[in-house]
Amino acid sequence: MAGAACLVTVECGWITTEVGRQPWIVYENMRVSEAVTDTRASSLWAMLGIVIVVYTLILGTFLAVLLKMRTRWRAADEQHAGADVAGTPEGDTPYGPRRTTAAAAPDHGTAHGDGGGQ
Amino acid sequence: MIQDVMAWVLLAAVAAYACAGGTDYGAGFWDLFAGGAERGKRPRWLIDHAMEPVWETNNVWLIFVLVIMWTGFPVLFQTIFTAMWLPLALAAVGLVLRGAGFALRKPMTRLARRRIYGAAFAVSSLLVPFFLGAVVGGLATGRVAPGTKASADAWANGTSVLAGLLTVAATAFLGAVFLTADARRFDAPDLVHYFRLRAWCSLGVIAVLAVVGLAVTHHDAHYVHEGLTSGIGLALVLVAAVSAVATAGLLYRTATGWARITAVGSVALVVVAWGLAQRPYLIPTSLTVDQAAGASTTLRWLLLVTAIAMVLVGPPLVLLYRLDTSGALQPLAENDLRRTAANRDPGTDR
Repeated sequence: MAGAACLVTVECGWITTEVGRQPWIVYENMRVSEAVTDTRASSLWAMLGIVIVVYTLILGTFLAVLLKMRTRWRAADEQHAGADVAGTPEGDTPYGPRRTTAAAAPDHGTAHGDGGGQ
Repeated sequence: MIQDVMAWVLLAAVAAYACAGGTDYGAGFWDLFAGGAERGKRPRWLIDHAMEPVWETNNVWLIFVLVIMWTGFPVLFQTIFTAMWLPLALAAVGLVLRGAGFALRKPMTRLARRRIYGAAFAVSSLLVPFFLGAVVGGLATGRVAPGTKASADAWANGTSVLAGLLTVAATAFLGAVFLTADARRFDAPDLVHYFRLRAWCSLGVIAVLAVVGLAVTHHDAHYVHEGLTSGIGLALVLVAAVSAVATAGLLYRTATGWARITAVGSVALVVVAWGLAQRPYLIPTSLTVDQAAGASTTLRWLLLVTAIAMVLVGPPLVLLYRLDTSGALQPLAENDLRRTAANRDPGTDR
């Protein structure tokens, strides 16, 4: 809730600044109409479209990855299977528990489980 | 006077970006051409490990170049970004996709998804330097002048395409040299041979492109052509060529530490030679350094900020590269995270 609210606040402040400054782009120095290039409107729309699509895709992936990681970490914690992973750093994912070991871990579980007294 | 100093700083920043960013793009280039999932597994593993600690840092110079451009030389910035906004916008989109692709590829567990993000990263690594190089080429031909409207001709002419290809080849060369050194550091003799061969090949391609470039630029970018084929410009280009050949020799003897220095030297010298060939123009024959410079008060502050930035950013950068080349930077593995959590939970000694 607080996270969403802070984003809304930042965006509202931004919009207030930009709208409040009209018709200036540099206050009392240059009007928006003087600053605008003669690039065609269709090109600008296309560019805006590309930016929106790219950032939506990245945000979507980012959220999906975070949620998936959360699920995996939780599952691993519940099994006390955080245990040991074959030390190679090039395992399938660098941030979360490894898939394969989460299932195969119980026998090592006690070795590391002693610290985590949740 | 002060505008000349700032112009030198700008050129130095461009040279630094060509070397640091170039190495980074080069790694992506070889990722793209590493072959299928099975065949490319080991090279991609090395590229991932070599890039991971430094890939964001390598791109700070781009920010620096942009800030100096719009603060110190606003007319230059306005001219370039009005006339060639399309390749620059494409390069910007490429930069975003490249970073996202690299960062998001790792947490993907399915091969198909990894392919998508890996492809976004690798293809952008090819396109971004091409477009940036094409913009530089367009600048050198003098097709762009203050007041020029956006047109494809400014960046889609012979010199631009050649400059773009040359930039890509140079990044591939730098990337291969640095990856050879990294392969040695990670104790992978097969990859030392793999990337050494690629460094030699890209050097060959650069040589061919340079010869073609001599012919193309003779009429198309006459001012820069003159500057690069006479006087100090020629001298620097020759030193760069010697340095590049020395790199090839050093790689043959697997003296990878020195090879890195000569490779960076050759690329940086070519950039400096280009800058000197354009003197006194920022955009050949239409915009001089003096005409493009902003107000002198702004320039003085910009110089001060540059000095502060050097003091603040320089030492950490040196430290980062030293830690990286000595192999002290390893990614956090699952075990490290667990251990931290385990130590913290019981609330013991620390």
